[in-house]
Amino acid sequence: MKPFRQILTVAFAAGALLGCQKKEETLKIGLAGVQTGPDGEIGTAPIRGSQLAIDEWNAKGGVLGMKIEAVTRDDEGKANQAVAVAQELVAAGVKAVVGHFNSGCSLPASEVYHQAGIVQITPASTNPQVTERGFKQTFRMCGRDDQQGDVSAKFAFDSLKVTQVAVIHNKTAYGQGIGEVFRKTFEAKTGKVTLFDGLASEEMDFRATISAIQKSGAQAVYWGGMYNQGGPFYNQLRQAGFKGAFLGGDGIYDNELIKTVGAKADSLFITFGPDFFHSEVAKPFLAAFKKKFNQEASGYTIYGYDAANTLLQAIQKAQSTDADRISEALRSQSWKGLMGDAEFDQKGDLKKANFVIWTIRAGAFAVR
Amino acid sequence: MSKSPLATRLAVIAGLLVLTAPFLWTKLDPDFNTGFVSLSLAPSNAIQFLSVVLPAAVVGWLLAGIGFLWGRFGPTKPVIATGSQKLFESPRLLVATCAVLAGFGFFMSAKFLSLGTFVCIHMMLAIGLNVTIGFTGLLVLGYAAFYATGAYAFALVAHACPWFPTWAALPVGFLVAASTGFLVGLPCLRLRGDYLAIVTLGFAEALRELLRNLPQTGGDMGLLVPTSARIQSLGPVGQAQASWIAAVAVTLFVGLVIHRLYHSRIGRAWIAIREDETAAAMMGIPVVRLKLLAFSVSAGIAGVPGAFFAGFAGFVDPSTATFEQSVLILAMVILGGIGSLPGSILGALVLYLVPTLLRDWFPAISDYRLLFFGAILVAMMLFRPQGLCGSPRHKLELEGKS
Amino acid sequence: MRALLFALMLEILVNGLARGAIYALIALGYTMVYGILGMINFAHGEIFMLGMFGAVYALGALGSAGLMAVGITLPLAIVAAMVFSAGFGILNERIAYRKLRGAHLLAPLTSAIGMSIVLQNFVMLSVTKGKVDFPRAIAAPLADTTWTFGSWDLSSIQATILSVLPDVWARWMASKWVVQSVHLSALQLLIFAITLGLMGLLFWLIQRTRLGIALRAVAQDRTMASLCGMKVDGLITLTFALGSALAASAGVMVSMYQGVLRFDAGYMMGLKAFTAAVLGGIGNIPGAVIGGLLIGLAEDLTSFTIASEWKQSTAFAILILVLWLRPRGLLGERVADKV
Repeated sequence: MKPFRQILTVAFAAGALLGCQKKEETLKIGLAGVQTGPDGEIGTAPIRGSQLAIDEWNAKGGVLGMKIEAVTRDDEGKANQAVAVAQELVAAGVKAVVGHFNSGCSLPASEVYHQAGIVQITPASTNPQVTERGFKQTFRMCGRDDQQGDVSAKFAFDSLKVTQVAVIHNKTAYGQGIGEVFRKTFEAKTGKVTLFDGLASEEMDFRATISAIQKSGAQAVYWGGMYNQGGPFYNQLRQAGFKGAFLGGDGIYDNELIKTVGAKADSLFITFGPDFFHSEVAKPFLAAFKKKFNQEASGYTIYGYDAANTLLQAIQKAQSTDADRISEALRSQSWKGLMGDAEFDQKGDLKKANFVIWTIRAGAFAVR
Repeated sequence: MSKSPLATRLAVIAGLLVLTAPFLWTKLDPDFNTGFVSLSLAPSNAIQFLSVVLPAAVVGWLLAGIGFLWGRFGPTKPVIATGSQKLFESPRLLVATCAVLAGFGFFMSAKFLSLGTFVCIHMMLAIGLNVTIGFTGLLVLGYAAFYATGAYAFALVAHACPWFPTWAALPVGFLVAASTGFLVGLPCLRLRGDYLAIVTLGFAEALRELLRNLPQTGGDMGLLVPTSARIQSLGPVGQAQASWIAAVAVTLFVGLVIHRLYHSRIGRAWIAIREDETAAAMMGIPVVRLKLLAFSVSAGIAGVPGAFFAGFAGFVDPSTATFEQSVLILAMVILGGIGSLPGSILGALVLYLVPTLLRDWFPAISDYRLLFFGAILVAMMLFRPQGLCGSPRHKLELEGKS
Repeated sequence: MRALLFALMLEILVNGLARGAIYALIALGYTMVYGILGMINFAHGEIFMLGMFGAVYALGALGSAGLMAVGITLPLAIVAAMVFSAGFGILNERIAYRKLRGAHLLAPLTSAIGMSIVLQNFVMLSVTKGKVDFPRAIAAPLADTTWTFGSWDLSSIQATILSVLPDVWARWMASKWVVQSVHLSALQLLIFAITLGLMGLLFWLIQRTRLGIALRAVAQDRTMASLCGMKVDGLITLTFALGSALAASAGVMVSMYQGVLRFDAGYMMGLKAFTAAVLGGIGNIPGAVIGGLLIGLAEDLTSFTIASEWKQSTAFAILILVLWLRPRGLLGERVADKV
């Protein structure tokens, strides 16, 4: 009996040891966001960006002597699924999360991360509420809706010299959010918002709304929504003889928009991050991305890439995987990324809003 | 039927191949400069699609084959149905089951705790929907609307009075959802069953629209439930464990209530209505009133998991009332077996766990989830209308051979 | 005052009727199938969506073959879409409904819901999750040709309203109901023309031909019709084919009108068209047309006078009201206790 027991003990000890070692070897990072359904395409972009960043770190030997393991989860763009995913990631023992994509998902999920004490850094959720609830370990790598609505409103009033604008949104947290901020800034600048209205996000016939816009005497239209509706909306406005400017947020920055409105589209102004497709720093990234995923990097990819990079640098600097230490490190300095220098304020937002005005020129997006 | 069955079948398959060919084998190449479009061959598209669908079809056939063999050579006594009968008949067994399942909570990983809680929520929904579809024969398509009603009711109450105790969420969810069901059912229960289906679907869409438009309900972003009103950790029991234990207890309780109800006078009257409304009315059963009761009870039961979800997840949003959610619940009831309580439980277990686990193991096929749900609905109706553990009586009825 | 109301009516009429005509075309399919089989063909909205895609694929094939002239490609694409959708409609009936013909009404309805989900997700998985653009070069000549009528000076009219009505109402009317000009596009004219033409054909077929008599006979009594030697199966297949073709033609026009198509376009459209069919009295063909036009008008009236936010709710509010107050619809027969 004795030898048997000994073997058993050894086996157990070995097993326990192996188990422990395996645990220490990897650092788990959650990558969460919408990957399936209508928003699946655009939501996968930041996740792939983060994936690339993690691969690069692993090639260099990981962080704090540990390999990094990406745990990717799909929240289907639904809030309740986002909660389930967040709980699952917490359970899987991730030390930090890069995600989620939709503001409507980041909001409830961040509650879970907050309770579990996990750093969350979202690459794309622009709704102000995400960082407005005093959660110390919630960060965002992108601008805020109030920043982009603000930039748009100032641009419309100061540069385009319009005083009457109609604001139409798609009734989502994102669209209505940027629409309201636009209205606030524009009215503060003594402009007049002649119409403020929303449309369901599956509606594609805008003609009745366009009649109302024309009747209201608006000189320009601000669209708070995504590209899939923005394109037809723009086309139908032009068909109805509306010649004023069409302004929108980062939600319509997508090559699909150009496919819909065509190369000749004029007076179309979009707020988005700085131009990195033509910057020298981004070239290796764009090439590496194309090689790994066999597709061109899109706008959001770089947000995911920068978010993951910044996070890992902060972990390196903090020399710890403790959420408080990482958060502290994230706030302590300015981080170099492909999009430029990023510095977080107390709330976890970028100190410098990096929105610039884009337009369509010769069938491609170009900084105005 | 002049043509032979084989010829017809071949014709159908040929038609299917021809009609799906453009989508599968070709790709659109839009030219946004000229605004024209052209078509090119793209077999990769078809290969990707078929590489998921064909294996899935094979798995489906195998499962169906196993089911067939089980029905032919397996135990003649329906195991699951008898088990559930025993469970809900004996209070001691019920308490013991509850205790054992709750006890599991201390050994389950957090992932499975949260998964388990969601499974329980869907079990309650399936049980509730079964009351209308299965017991009374009324088809409700927008069932998720009542789920959302319960969730929002609790969230709004908790916002209005933060001292509101969490456990009181469940009666509130039940009452509000049941009264909503009463009001919706009142005008349309006189009509044919399929009218009711569409009215409830319209109601769900209208409700979702309302929730998205009203500032009180937080618009599209939904509402956060105040922390004080959420399910809390109790001493050594963590929040996840507390949720799981509560979910198990509430699910078993709901199951018990429905089981008792089904075997009561009211339940027998419901069955009578389902089988022959005219005859039931002749026998002196107040048909409309009982239908309304079934509808309200069913709606109310959806409110319970709704309120539970609000207390568990800590927030509610309009996506709780989507058509997709309603279809998921419907598929659970139909897969499990129309009119069968254990069937609903089994259906919810399978249809919630399998897609979620598949999504983690094979992320590539998670997009195909809804496609398979749809296929399950059609296949069940065609080949096994009584579901996995329904009674032969339902089968005859659904096939119209009663 | 009269000029003002006239302008308002025109603007709503043009946009609302264009929408309504499309609802009517789809509603016809619901109503015909219901009339003949007594079942709600829930997958009909998906057939409409398949028509949208069918037309773009046909245009793609023509484009690859080098055919570009709108005058030739567009009619060909419409016909191709109609044939394509009709094929799907027939297969749908064959696979999912025929076996369940005598069953409890839950069975075919559930099967139809399943079919609807399958078709929608098939398109999502095999074509794209995002949108497909209707080729601009085909739609543009029609959509960009617009005429603007009137450029009324409305200040005097506004003053009249303000002097006649109580203050609050007057301001509301003056802000919401005053129209400066009315737009009409060639595409909208085409929609009216095609809708009218197809409906005329359908009425002629049903009221004036032997085939139509047979269809009506099957709708009245299937057993009796079959005893009289009519090929019931074939006639039911024909009904599905006709309804699907009409929905497909609506699909082509909607995709031109909106400029984009998506895999989930059929769901909302189908629901609203069904509402239209119920409003007109399900099973009743002229009823479907009237119901469709009314729903289209009501929706545009809502976005015009209240806000676009509530546009979606209008159709469902109408649906619930109709079923409550007059379940048989405007022109329908009594259905309350027909079990």
